[in-house]
Amino acid sequence: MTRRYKYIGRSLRKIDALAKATGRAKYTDDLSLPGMLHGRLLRSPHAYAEIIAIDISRASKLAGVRAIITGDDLPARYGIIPSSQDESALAIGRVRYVGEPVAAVAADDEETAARALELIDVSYRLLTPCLGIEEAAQEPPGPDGRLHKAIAYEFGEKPGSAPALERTDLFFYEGNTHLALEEHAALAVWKDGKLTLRCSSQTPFHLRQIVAKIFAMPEEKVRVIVPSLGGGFGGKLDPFSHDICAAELARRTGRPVKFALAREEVFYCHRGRHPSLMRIRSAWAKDGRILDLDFEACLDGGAYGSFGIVCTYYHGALQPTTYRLPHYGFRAARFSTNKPPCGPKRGHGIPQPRCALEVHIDKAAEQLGINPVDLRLKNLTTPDSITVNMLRIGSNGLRECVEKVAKASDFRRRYGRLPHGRGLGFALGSYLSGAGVPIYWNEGPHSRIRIEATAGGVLTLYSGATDIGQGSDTVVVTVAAEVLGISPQRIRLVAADTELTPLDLGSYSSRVTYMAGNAAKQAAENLKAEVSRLAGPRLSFEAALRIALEKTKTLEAWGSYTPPKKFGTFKGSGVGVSPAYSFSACVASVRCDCETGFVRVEKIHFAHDIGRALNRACVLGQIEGGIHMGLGEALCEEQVFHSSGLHRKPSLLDYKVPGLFEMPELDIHLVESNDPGGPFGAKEVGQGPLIPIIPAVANAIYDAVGVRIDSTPFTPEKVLEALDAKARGGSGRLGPDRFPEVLFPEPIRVRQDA
Amino acid sequence: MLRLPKICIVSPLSLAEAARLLAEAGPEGAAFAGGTDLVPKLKRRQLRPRTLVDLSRVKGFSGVKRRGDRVVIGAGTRIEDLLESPVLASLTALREAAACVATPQIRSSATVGGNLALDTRCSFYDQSGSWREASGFCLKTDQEAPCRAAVGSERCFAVASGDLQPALIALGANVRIVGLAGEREAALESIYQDTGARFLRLAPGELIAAVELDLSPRLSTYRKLRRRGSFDFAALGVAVSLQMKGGVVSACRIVLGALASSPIIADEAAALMAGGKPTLERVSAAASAAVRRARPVANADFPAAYRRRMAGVFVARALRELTGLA
Amino acid sequence: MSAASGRALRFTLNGKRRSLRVSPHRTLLEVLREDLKLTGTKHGCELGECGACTVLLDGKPVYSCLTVASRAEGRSVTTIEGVSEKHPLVESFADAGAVQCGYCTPGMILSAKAHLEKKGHRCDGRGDCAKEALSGNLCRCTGYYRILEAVGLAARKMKRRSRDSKI
Repeated sequence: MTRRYKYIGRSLRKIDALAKATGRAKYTDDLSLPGMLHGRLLRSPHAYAEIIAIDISRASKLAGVRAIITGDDLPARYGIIPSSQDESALAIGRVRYVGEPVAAVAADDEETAARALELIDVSYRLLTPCLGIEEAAQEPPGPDGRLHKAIAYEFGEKPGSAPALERTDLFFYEGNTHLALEEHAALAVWKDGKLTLRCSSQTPFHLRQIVAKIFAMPEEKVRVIVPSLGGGFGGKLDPFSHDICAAELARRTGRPVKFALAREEVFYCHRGRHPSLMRIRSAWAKDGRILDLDFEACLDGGAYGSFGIVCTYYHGALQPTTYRLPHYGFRAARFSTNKPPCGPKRGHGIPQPRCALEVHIDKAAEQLGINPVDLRLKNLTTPDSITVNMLRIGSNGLRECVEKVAKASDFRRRYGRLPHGRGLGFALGSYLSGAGVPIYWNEGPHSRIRIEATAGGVLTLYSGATDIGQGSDTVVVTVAAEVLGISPQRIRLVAADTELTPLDLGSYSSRVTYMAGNAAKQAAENLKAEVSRLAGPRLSFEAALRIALEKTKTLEAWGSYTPPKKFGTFKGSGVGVSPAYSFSACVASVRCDCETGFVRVEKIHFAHDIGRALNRACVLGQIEGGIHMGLGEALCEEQVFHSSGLHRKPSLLDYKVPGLFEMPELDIHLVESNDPGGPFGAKEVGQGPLIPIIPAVANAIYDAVGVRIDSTPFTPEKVLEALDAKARGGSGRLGPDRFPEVLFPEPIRVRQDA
Repeated sequence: MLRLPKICIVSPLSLAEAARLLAEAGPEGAAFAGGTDLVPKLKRRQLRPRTLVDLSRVKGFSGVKRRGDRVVIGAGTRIEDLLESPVLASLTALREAAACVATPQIRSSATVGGNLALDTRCSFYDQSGSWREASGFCLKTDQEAPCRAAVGSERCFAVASGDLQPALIALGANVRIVGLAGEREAALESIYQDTGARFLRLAPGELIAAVELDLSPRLSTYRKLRRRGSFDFAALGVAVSLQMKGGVVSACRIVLGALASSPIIADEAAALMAGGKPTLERVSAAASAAVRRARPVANADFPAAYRRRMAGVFVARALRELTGLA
Repeated sequence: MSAASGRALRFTLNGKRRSLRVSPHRTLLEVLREDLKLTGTKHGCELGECGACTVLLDGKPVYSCLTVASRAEGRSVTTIEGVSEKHPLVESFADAGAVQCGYCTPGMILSAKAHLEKKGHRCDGRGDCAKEALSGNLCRCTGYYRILEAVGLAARKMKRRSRDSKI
């Protein structure tokens, strides 16, 4: 039975919508302070080189230049995760990609800072860059080698029965980038031994911790504030050179320093999707049951670690959340190359393997003679189950998602039967509602929320979560309002300020609705209980609050969320663990022009197990945005480089983000599986919806014209090349045909009964 | 934020004065019309003029005027205004080309003259100053540097990608050019030459003042290859105009844009269509002839071979559409 | 003609006459954001490739990053600060969930405003004309549908308002 809610589930206005729509909302670069200096970064023109000398003398003499720093001025090593402390704010000794910051200038205005950069003389000794997986895998191992991380696992037991079908496939997923519309910015003030850093960060609390470490000062002396944030998608999770240089230059000059990056520089910040070369082997029973799955991947990590190790683990973590696998082998290696660092982009390390897997299953379905939808249905995971890799699945609306899109698209009747040039493709996906294990391991809560009631009944909710556009501010306020039975407009919000708000781990891994939402719910419940204890029961909250505030000056209540303990105990078992998983299914309908190779995605049928939609318009907006970004990865977006290491397309004109005309018709279904642990049953929607789009489009292209494009993006030129090959009697497959020799470690063996 | 360098702007009120100012400024000067091509190029230091000769106050520089069976389009006319003008309604290729220029915001600033004089484009040239410096610069801006797109080339292969260029040439447009020596008229195609670094055959101080076309009835179309439905420059533009008399093609013009440093007039292809009944065989022969004229290098979106092949596909489609063979 | 160097710029900004001294190399974007502190106009590329900086110049959408400030001389400029919180577009963007990170929103609203005023509100947001009108504005969050819905919603509201005002 569904409970009736007053605010939950409705399409309420986001609490920041009017401020943003009227231009009143201030983003970092909208801020300016008296006496403020402007910072600029000098970036490396070489992909790989030794820095012989840096001469700042000419630049220092330029009128209006207030300070110049180089790598030696900021020697501390850091990185977003504890096991990858390999970055420095400015290059020390070597540069490892074109665009890597080498020096930073603070000047009276941006023009002067830019002129100063031209006057800094850097001499380099060029080294031979390594720009791809194949090259990297060939380099000898060792401390100077290119292998950053290699992992290997074997889960479950091989079934005794002989498979009816075995197949192996290779797939290459090209790198791409977030491209949030707001260019990164930071504004630092260093006053009386205290640093205040306002910047476009998705993780203010991690940034505070890292900045405090770099400057060897206590965390309470660092205050990170996130003004309105113009989109993140994972691209603003890492600590960046401009954040740290702004702080150091503010310390040196005693004046506020602002960095506002140009678009080209954002491409160098990157931390986007890892290019990934993957190999899948599977074994199937005649009736379509998967007997065995073996997955290998080589990730092209770029120059630094970032979240790359996590990405590497994620490459193997979530295949088992959708399919029951008796036996599952997983090996992955991440290589360092001389390109901007890859990291967490919407979906983290999951879209690449999911794409490879869903295309692989489509191929298996054809060989087995089973409709792709029915083949999946034979293997789906169920609610309240444990996966072969020891992940605990609670609510699971996957079956309903599959049936919904299959029915809406009439898939079983139309698949394989549309006229040449038109096709349907099916794929599914799954994502976490927040990582169950924190980046910096501790047993504390992942989210805390404080609600304060002060004279006159003023209610203020303090949330450390960062609204990156996904609506987290609206979520925490709506959840509290529902519990208290008052309008969300009654609640003031203070958010994403490390001094004023309680700790929240940040806006990543789709964790905020689930974790901060639960904390908000608990805080509101605690406040409500306290108010009724003071005022007595049976009054409306507003009436009771008035009485309670007569008895005590202020009231405060706390809520927090700590995810349940992970189930697996083996090394690496922390990755993929989540209190709840979202599930999605997608059918893409495409039309392919056989003369030009252009693929037009005409319609997307999409179903998402959201647990419960807290704000319907926000949920649909996340799904629509995820589909849009997924289509970009499928059809046109690629972060690619010249052989010199220069980025081929570091602009919004050349890096092709789909526009309005590229959007297909959408048919979206919400499946509400009502997760028992989620706030009012809710699960994530920020990242999951992107994931099945790419393989669904790939599979639809095959249904339309019979070619397999096994490398993203599925561009017209690739489709045409494959059509040509097919016309010449070839297979019509375009994709990688080699997987490098990688020395993976001995696998960690995990059995469920152990 | 990317910013403009320090510049001086002079705002003449007549074309003659503009020509004089441009001639005086020499290589240090640039004509400044809509600015949608010039401003990004200044910001990225691709062009380094000190003086901009602002054409926005020049009298009589914009507007679409009918003169009997001809039409005169002032070079300062906004591209958006081409779409609104009823006089131009019958010139389908021009309207289609205008409609697919960049975005509504660009079309409301950019001018006809600016699109005709659009700086040639190349993926090694349309980059920031620091990017080009890291690449070692190229032949487009630096005579000592090699061509990065066509290694070993003696000349710059930057591409003429203005959408109006092929459309207006296919429609047989003339341009009126104002310079120090007064005014001259020339066929539009004659102002282009196939070298990316100096693609305009205009004397110092010369400016495009207007475009003139005849309005005689004919069929025409423009097709553009680009990855997205807006923003993108042409990776190929195909304009075809055609006249039919009694079921026979009496005149045909086929122009390919964005494949070379000047628009390519595919006259062999057009000759295969003219003088006979349109048939699929003729169309396919014409398309093949057009492809033979296309020699793009890898300096725009899409691989060069793909752009070349699409020239044939687009020409064939345009011809089929116009002759009703579809 | 007149040579220019830090000369006076006189224009109408959001209905009010303004006059200030501006160097010739300043863009309208920079003057609005930095000299006049009107930071509602955003920037995402400064090269005319994203639409975040869209403002209206004599009612027509232009990229303020490509517009040299002196081009506004004697003309009328509308920025998001000149659009009231009660404007149907602002309300509809909020109601339809068209605002996610909000960074493209001011530019989107101004493009939509120019479109609806030109079309006299004969637009339901679903047809090609609305898509065409917004095709110079990139959004990375929404996938555009909530934005188109907001435009349709606003058009209906504006039509109703203009009908009501005639009664």
